Amino acid sequence: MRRTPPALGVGLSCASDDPALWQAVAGHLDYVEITPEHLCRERIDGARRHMRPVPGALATTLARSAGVPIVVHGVELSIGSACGWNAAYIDILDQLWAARPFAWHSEHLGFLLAHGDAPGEVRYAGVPLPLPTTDEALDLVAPRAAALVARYPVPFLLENGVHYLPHLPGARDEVEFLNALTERSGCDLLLDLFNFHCNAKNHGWDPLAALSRLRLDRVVEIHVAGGVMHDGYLLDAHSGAVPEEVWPLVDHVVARAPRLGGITFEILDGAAERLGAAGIREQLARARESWQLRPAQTEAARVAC
Amino acid sequence: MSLAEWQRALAAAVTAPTAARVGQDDPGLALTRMLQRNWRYTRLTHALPLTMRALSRDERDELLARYCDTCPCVSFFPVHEARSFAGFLAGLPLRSPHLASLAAMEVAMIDAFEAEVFGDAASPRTDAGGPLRLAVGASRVRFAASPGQVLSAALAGDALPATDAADHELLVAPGIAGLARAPTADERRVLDECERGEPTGPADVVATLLAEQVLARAS
Repeated sequence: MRRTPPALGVGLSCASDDPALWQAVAGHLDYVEITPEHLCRERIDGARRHMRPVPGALATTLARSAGVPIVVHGVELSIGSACGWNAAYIDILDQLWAARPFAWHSEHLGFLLAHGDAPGEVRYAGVPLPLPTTDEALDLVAPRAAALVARYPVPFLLENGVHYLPHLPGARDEVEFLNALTERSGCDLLLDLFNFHCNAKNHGWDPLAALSRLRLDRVVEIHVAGGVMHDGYLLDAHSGAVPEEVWPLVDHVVARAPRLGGITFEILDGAAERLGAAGIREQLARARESWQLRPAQTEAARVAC
Repeated sequence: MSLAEWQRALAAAVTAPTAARVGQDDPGLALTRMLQRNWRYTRLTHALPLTMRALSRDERDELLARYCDTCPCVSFFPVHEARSFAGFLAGLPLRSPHLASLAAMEVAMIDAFEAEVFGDAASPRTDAGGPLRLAVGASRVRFAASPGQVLSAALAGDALPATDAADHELLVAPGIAGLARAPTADERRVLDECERGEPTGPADVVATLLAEQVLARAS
């Protein structure tokens, strides 16, 4: 049986340290999503990475979120790297769990680290890169995800990414790969519907048709964000309001995802200043409209899913 | 092709120098390369705000293109990019010597802060017998004009001041209030002596530098 997340509601993911902004949105949030790496510093000794929490950073972050629950969204695990994942991320996640338990945690489905040209050399890609949808990729990621599922008594989610490459190797499409991964590993999905929309638009497929094939009972969290057009591509930029085309996808999933724990609006700190507190509140209010579309059910029914 | 080989080839293509990719990239890969470089620029803007502000737009674009072509990206964390870029600037004949000083100053501040985070700032011990050395997280940053004027101009986005013949310096260390201050003449002499061997300077000066974690005794 899969772990059942609490039904939290609407959350915000933003690295802004502007107290006025947090104060202005505080009453409109049910939870805050934090990125552990934003609370840390890293050292690299050869091939080994170490992270340490900055003293007081977690307390400051928790204080600004006014006591609402936290969920965790990491960026540096590199779960899909054939050369090995970043164990320093697990260390810092352990420390965070000990300091403040989270409702669930998630990471990106992709890779950042790869073998370099010289033996033993590891190359850091500098931008998240997608995985092929091959059996080999599935065989690599599924046991790692299963290990993270087992590590804490809360759900572990993997997030579908955005990519701009024309052809990824593998016989499956993105939906088939996500379905297979959640089935084999026991992990759940962080369904980024802006990423999904970007991939659909950039690679020419129908997002609603694709969603109809996705295991929505695996979706624990939804991400929404804004982006920009560049050279004919829609980019995932976390740069402002969610495009209107994305909200129908959100409504579709919310109405059909029995284990959904929350809808998170993501925005970069600089973009948050431009959008302003009122603009962020509007996005959160729109997300809350979607949240109301959840199928009615008892907590017992949620547990049974 | 194995997954490892495919990942190696893709990461190499995304991080390769621009000249090595001319005519080889489809638009999606070219876009991915551009995004990778934009992230590097964003990290530098975050970690080295004064340095980046002091560069003209043309200068910044040209330097960043050369930097990304010659120095690999190693981490999500901006501090690594900051150290790498500061080292890159230090090796270039720049329009203004203040640019390298600003980058060195901002990196020194990061180093001092991180020495505390990682718990490796030296505890002040004046009675131990080991040789004195610059402490982990401590730096001496040289300037070609008054540091206050250089930093103020960079902060305000004004033209950087003219250089002068005087020898300007700031000390940066974990134990200094605000992390940075100008050294006294006696302190500079002690620090110079430390770089050459054991200092013979006044004991009270050495004690102050130890207390502020500018100096440490090697164990």
